[in-house]
Amino acid sequence: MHHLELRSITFEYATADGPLTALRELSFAVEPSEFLCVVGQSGCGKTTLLNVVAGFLKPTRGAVLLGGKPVTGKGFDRGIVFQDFAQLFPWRTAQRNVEFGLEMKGVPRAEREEVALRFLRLVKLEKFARSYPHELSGGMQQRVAIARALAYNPAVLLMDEPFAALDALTREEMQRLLVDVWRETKKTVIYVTHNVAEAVYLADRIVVLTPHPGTVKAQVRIAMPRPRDTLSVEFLECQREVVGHLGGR
Amino acid sequence: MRRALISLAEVVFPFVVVGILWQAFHLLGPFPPKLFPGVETIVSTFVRLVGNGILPVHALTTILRLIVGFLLGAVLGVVAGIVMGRYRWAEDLLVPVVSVGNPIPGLAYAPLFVIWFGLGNLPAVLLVGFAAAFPVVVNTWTGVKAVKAIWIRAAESMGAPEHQLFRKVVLPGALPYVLTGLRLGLARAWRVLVAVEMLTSVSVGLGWLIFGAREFLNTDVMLAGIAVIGCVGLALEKLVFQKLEEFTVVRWGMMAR
Repeated sequence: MHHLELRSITFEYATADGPLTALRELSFAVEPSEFLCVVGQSGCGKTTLLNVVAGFLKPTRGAVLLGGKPVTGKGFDRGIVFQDFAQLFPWRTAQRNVEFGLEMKGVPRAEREEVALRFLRLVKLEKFARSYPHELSGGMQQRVAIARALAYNPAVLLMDEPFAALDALTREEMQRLLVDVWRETKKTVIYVTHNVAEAVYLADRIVVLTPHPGTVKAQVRIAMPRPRDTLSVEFLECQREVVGHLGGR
Repeated sequence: MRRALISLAEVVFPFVVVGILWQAFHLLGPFPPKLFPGVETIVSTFVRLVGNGILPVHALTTILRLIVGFLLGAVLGVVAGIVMGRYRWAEDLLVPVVSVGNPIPGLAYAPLFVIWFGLGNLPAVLLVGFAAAFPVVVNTWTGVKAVKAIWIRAAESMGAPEHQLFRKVVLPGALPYVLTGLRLGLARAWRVLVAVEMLTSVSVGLGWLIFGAREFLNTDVMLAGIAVIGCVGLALEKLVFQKLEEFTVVRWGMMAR
């Protein structure tokens, strides 16, 4: 049994000119502790796909199975990190942001604090536990968001281009950190991006989507050991293969 | 210490300028001193009325009416604003009513309130609450609508049930607007209260003190009363609203200092 499975997901948006198909017959599976990247041009339905898995959108046809059971609506079993830095609650310190999911689960205060600090340490922000989001840089805010999405121990971590709005140097640093966090926590990750190099750097496997409507074009396994050298011949060849699938040639 | 002195000087300076201009007009202007008293007369009257307890009694009565009326309006306004922001049916029902009611000066209802509730504290307090509620409703409603969708999504993805979402996301998220509404509501409450005290001939209160003083051309008493109104307003702004903001929305980076 797969950890998470998408079974021929079709999603149609209702528009004035009738239904617009964003995703058609989309199927793939994710194994436990796998790092899966979904790559595609903007407008190929990546975010729609993530919202379906997250339970924010109900697929028109098809089903999402988590541990063999169909997913209905939102829940504790999926953690989400968005692209927008504004996702943190400005009225809560970094630590209290990370505690939010645990609070909703009814975890007692002392334990909440301990877990939150552990996850802040994991993203190397334990010194900023008492800072408010507006006092942190964009990269630090995204790290808090990652800690927040992991702290209540969801079965899958969903990430929607979390580093797209960061500068190139910070982005590289964040990618390295994310790989470390993933190895430490053994989380199953679905990471959506339009950046091919990022996907090759992070993923065990890349699902390539083609747009209008979004369908799975190809799946590329990246077997390179980590940490990966982004300038190696092997890395560039993987990148070329993915770009080739994206270009449709 | 030095910084505190400088900031005090910054607050006092404009009033010194006004005082000098006032005094110049008192000395050189067309009014006789009885109608346009000098600064020294106003100050000595102020000190005398404070000393013999007359001004404190009037001021305290007015402040008490203000607080009770304003709290009434604030609670009602916040609750109504939140309900309007969260539920479509309430929005459809209340937006037209509030839109029409908001620009009507609260004082226009004063005669009605007197007829319905008699003279005394009750109509004054109720009218103050009624008038203050409008800006609170409008701003709270706007604030709830302005709560970022991504906060709601993030909270929902972490399994927040409706009541938690409401208390821990919608309420703090709307707070900058709610505070603005409360501030506007208080200003309106103040205005309508002083006027209604003049109209409903309650026998005590700053409005009545000022209005009653005209019988004897006691312009110095009027001005002392006006000064108290200004001081109380300033104290509420500095000691209540600014502190509240510094402690919340400013600290959270949701509002510039």
